[in-house]
Amino acid sequence: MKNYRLNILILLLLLTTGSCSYLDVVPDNVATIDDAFVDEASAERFLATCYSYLPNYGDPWVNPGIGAGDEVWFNEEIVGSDFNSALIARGLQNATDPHLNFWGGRQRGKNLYVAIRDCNIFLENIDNAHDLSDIRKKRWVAEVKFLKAYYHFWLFKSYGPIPIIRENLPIYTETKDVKVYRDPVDDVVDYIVELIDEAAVDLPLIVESEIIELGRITRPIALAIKARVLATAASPLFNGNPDFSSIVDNRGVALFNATYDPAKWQLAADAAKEAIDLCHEANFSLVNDYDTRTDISDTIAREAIIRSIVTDRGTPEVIWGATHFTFSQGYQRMLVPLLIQVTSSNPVSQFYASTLRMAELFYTRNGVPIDEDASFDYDNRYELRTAVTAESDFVRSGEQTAVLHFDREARFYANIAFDRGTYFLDPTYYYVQTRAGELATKRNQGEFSATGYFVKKLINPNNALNTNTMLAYYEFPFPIIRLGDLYLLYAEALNEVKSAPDQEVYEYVDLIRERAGLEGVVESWSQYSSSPQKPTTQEGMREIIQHERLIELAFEGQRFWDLRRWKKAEEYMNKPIQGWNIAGKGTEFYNVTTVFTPTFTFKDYLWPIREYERIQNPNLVQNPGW
Amino acid sequence: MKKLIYVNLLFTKGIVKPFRMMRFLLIFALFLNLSAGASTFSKTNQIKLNLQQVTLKQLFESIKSQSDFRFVYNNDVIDDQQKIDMVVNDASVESILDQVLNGTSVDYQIINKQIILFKAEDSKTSVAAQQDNTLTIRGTVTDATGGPLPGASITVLGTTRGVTTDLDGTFTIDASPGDKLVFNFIGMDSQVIDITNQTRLNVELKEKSEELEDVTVVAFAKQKKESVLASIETVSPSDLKVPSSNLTSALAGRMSGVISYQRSGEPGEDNAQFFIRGVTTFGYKKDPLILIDGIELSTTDLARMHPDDIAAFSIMKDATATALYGARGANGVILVTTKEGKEGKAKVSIRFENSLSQATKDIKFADPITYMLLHNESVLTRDPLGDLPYTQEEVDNTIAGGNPMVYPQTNWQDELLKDYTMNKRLNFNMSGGGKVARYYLAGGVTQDNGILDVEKKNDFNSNINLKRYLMRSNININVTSTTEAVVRMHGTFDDYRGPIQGGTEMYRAIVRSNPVRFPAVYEPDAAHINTRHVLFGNDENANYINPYAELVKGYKEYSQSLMLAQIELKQDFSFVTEGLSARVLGNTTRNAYFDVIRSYNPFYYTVSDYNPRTDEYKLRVLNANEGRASLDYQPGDKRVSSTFYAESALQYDRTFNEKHGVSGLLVGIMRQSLSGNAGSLQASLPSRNLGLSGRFTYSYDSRYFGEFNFGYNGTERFAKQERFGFFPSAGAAWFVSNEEFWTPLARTITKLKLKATYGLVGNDQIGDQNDRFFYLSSVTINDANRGYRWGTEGGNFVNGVSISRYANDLITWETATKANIGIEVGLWDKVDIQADLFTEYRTNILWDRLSFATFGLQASTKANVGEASSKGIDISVDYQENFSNGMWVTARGNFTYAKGIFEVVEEPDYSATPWRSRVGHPINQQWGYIAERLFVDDWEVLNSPEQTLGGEAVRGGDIKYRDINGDDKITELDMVPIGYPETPEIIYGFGVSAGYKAFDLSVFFQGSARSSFWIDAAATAPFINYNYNNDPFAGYDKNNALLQAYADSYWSEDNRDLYALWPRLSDSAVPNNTARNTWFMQNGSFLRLKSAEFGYALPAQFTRKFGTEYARFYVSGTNLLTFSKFKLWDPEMGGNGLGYPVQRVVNLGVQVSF
Repeated sequence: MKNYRLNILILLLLLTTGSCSYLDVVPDNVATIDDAFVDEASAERFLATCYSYLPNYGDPWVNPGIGAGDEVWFNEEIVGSDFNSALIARGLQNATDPHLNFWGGRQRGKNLYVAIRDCNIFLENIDNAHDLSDIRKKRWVAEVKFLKAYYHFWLFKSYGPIPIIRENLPIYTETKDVKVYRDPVDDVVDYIVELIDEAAVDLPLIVESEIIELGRITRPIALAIKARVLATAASPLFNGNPDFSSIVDNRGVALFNATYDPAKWQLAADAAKEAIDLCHEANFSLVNDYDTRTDISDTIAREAIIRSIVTDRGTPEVIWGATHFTFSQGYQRMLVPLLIQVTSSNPVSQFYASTLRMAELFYTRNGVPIDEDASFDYDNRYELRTAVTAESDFVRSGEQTAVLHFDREARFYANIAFDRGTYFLDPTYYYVQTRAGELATKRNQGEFSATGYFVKKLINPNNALNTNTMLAYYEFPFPIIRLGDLYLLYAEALNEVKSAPDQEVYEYVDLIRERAGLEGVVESWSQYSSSPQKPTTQEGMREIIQHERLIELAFEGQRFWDLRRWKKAEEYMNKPIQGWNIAGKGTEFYNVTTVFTPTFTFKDYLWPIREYERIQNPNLVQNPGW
Repeated sequence: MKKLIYVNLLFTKGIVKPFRMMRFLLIFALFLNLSAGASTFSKTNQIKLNLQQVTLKQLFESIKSQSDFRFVYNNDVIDDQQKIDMVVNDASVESILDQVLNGTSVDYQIINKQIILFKAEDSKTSVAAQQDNTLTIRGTVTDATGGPLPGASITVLGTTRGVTTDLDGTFTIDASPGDKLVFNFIGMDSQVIDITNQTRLNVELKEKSEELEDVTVVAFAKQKKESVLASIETVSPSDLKVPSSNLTSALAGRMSGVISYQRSGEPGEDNAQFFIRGVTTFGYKKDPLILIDGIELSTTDLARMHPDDIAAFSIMKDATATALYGARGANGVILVTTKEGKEGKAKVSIRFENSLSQATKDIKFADPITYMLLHNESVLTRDPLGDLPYTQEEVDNTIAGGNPMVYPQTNWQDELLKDYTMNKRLNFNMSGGGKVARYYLAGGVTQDNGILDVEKKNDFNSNINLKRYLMRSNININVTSTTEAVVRMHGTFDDYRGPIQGGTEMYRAIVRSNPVRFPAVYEPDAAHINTRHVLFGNDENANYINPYAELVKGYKEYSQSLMLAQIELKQDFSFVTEGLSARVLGNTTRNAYFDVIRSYNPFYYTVSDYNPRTDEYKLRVLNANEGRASLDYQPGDKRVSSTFYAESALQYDRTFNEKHGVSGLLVGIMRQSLSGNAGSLQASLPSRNLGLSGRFTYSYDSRYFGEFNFGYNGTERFAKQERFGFFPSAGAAWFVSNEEFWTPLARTITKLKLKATYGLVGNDQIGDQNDRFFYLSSVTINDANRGYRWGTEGGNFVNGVSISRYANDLITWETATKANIGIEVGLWDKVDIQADLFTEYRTNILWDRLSFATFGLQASTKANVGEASSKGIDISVDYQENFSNGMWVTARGNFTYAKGIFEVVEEPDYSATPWRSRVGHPINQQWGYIAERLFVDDWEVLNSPEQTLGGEAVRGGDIKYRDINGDDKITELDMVPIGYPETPEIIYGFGVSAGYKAFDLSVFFQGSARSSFWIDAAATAPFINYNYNNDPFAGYDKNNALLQAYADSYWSEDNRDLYALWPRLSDSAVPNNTARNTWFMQNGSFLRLKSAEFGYALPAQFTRKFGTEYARFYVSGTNLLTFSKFKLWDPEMGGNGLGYPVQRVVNLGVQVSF
């Protein structure tokens, strides 16, 4: 009896204490990192992951090339306190919590070291995907190697010397081993190029099917980017820049090479040529026609072609576009001025404003700068003139606008929308009215152009308007690199290599000019320019190539980086940002108004490393000036 | 012998392999059960005394402490001057009494463990008189509330004569002068009355007082109070009565050892934060384990308890008190036991309260015109060319008081908030029972209203209306003479109706609405005279926040329920061996919640045209497409969860040879909880705990006490080898006043006890709640955020892979080593003092490892690297006195000081900037910049260390910070520890209650000290468009309201006040000024009249008329007065002054029982 009861007791105790397996609540099939490489389908997801860190090129908040430079200006109301790229343009970059921090993944910057780590994880584990064919594996590995190189490059052009991450450190590594050093510029460039070369071998010339694979890395992409990398490394900012010669880390390693090396330009030229040839082989070509059923003049057709270069679907010129982040309707409505009366309270937001500087950048119709063309009334460019009927392709006839807006090259009209200017959306000819109180002025908080200009280049002529909202006919991948860019890079590098420019140098610049409806460099300058000899000297030709580049690649996010690598940003970014007097009614509009006066010093060429990072890892020396 | 060595090993290693340990403990438990000797033993009659020169009273106390006997006598029976010696061993009570009373005039009789003392000669003389003077005595027997007790027995002492009362509690009995009548009633203390010559006798019997005074609730059991050496604070449930439907708001200052504060007064969201002995961890779980009838429940469940239902409320503070809870007790334990039924007739008690609730402090905002002028100034002062929000014409007309539709001046606070609101509470309970079963049933309804003012523009009222229903039933059944079953059922049900975003969000919307942009509602113009929907005001593309529209456009309803069912079986195994008992408990808890939102999309209007000459305006609809006048429905959250808990315990309690008290307890527990709405696979897996705990105590001669406890616990969160933790603790106490040598002092220092404990407690609730399985990585295999899109039309989207945790199978228990030294002193039997000095050292605190961006990890890695210590003191003093004229006074005060500091953390090398290191600083220490003053002008900015916090330009009138490291730059490196932590380090309270005849009065003060808070400079910055975290109004344009205090004192170009409260105005956030700094630091200390109550109990003759036994009316209030240096809002709300305010409540109540 007694024992019987005791047994019950013990049973009860056992019941509640149970067995230790009671705590094994985790079933076997919980996902771990190994599951990411079990088969081809999952490995492909990891491949997508490696791609996913590519910056959102079309997003002005994120792409410093759009928001942080002097091409586009955003009004104060829209900038607020979190429009990171525009805050950089306003001189508010800082070391405490840097804007667009791609180094640490803050303030709208993606964390590119996470990206590099993921690329390494992919490269370390891809062999586990048992059902992945060798050919495909090779190709994927090559793609990821390229991406790894590209992420290093993005960091390099922003920060200069950066720690190279060849292989991943184990997750539980002693803290002291995680405290890496910045690698010298030359080592970084060598590593990037080495990786791209490794990758290029296994990359396809073209993708298997554009409908599903456009945006995947191909050999032309790899070589084009390699040309850009080498041109960046050869440019004055990194090639023997005396300003940075004193930057030494706490081991005593100099992070910048203080000696100018012309051979770097040769490398860049060779890479550009190789890339151009390969692109031709892959049937890339300059966009040179525009299909329409509308009966349009050649000048409008020329404008439409230029507006199609990057905005067309399946354009033959864009070598690499950001397919992940299309320039969608949400962005395009920032560019379009309100052209018709609508019922909706906010059909377009129209705050993506070109600066006056950009309006002055484009050539005259004779293909030379406005201040060099004797036929152009440069001094009175802000005075008013009335458009005649013959000019109605450009300006609404009978309306007044600034002299600056007449007699310009096709790229001007294709790039910039201005007051009283024609706005062609096939088949309709709208015109812009942006003087105070008119259609294209402030409707809601922040929804207006700060300068009175709008950007037209990124709006495909096949777009259409309805009474509520703009219908985006085209969503296009924002261009990362295109053939025109390569042509100009090649000309630029070649010009640096040769003692004086020759036909080889002119050839690729002239191809670009021809597409814009202009005569060649030599012809144009000799006929129309006040300094006709300019194309014959290396210096003069450098200026011309740079000018051509700024025009051709306007509003594509390149100017910001080009001005930096040429060390010209100090010259440009200390001049006032100007526009028209948007508060002016009628012709009072035509008073040049300063919107903002930026400041730029040598420290702004390279971005600061966040102070916090340097507190964690004192081995990282700060960039000069921060 | 081998086993003993093993035990030693356990001590030194702390943690051993789980399987062997488990097996060992089972064998050990078996051993314990079997080896208990078979010696027979008389539990109560063996008294051991060694007393010199004591009074009879003291002798009786000694007997009482060693037995179950209670003494009943009139004071005049006992000669208090007489001193006796008494030395006996193993004597029976009878023999002692015979010895002591021999030769005195006192005689005794033992009835039901009650020893009744009376004058012997009376009884002897009465024998003669009996025949002559027989009296017929009539009377009633009532209980304390005056209610009649039918069936009470009345016997003449020393005879078998007796009667019982009838239904009205009346009786008739014959007795002679000198007889003694004994009154007995089930569940009541017996009473003896001397008969002289009275013929009317109304006797009031007192309820048998529960044994709580002598017994303390400890982990999984009850223990004799004198033998408790752990630091346990018990509070009387009546001290927790506050006119609030939130019990947690009553905790601050009531009990020593509890740090508590309340930040919001919104019904349903007003739980106070509380910590036991401060905070010594940095994981997610900082608050104590809450056990209600042994079941782990949430703060909200505690908040909903009715004090009337609470039998015992205790706080367990040190290692020995919490050791048995092992895994979960590291942050202290709050243990609540609900009442059980008592033998006796049914008793019903009803309490009704109606209270008036208002904000403790009204926040003053600037008037609309000041707002307008300063808003314009805020733009101009930063940018002379800036776009002004209001034109001069608008300003002029608003000042002139133009048409309120066109030049509105909307005081949103007045528009939307009431000055006060009324809340109601009703609860009742019923208890009673017989030999077989006892019951306690309770129910309650409370209704809390918000302070939102809703006009009758709609059919529905969207002010907060929170109704709570509570039901509780505790049934005890005596299955056999040794078996008891307890069934407890408990349910709470909340029905809420209120604004869509909740009260706090409404409040925040109100203080972020522009007072001059538009009115709440437009009066219709000619064109809209027939419009049926409300013409709400707005501007631009209807993107501004109109809090009035937000409030009336719809409402949210939620319904929440908690159901708990519990069964407990207790078996007395005295027939196996004396002192052995066991019990098993099973419990299941179910939670359910859902909400529904019904709302329409308001039509917004603005003035499109105004003719000042005719004073006519035209309205224009802003959102013709989006607006909708009909209600729409939106399903909300649906959350369910279930918890299962089982516990079995084996208990042994016995005294050997009268001196050696031995007890043992072994408890096994298992617990599982499961949520129906987990966000991920890992979160969806059940949470489980498994534990075996034990307590072994030994006491010698009521003077020396020793105790050993252990908890051996498992959790599912860690890898297999780390899954179990062993947490032992030990303690000792010395009851000095029970020593013989103490006798001379025994009258003044009636109690003196010294105690010390030391031990380990574990915590598995570390890191983040959602970080369930540290030994597994957490990988999202299909993460769209890491995906990429290829293809001409971007049609080929492939998801990516992301990692949110890296596996670490070394992560293990956080362990707290706690030491406690305590002293208990009793003075003149009136004052009771308890003081504890404690220290704690926590190791293995989970801590983020240093993160390096270049490492490229997607989630921080963690390790058990942190260490923290805390020390403090808690003291409580109680005073109680009953005066002969019936007046009574009690006073109670307590004080808690606790400070936790970092000992070891992983942080960067701060040797160059030592002020950045956390080591040695309090756990909630804030770092910030030292504000020197405001900049005089822009020139001074240029000539001062570079200051670009948040990357924005700094101007004159912004805050100037001190360059600590002298590098001519203000950076993170210049942040130093500033102020006290936001959690107070000192909490204290004191109060007095007194009663005289039918009146009673009590006041209670509560205070806190050594805390700082920071005015939230971003949230209170006037004019800016501020977003809170997860702000439901993030998409709207908003303008922060302007505090009058800021309008009165700010830096302006005309008045460069370098010490103004608010820096240079701005219409956008100025990161320089909102960075954590000393400018906005405030002293969080305050003292408040936390509660006061005045009551009046109706005299019995009145209550009887209404058929009740007891009726009391009372007025009470909470948060009546506050003393603080901070004047802008209630200091207890901290920096969040613009949230739903803490409430002051004035309450009228009535309590009736019958």
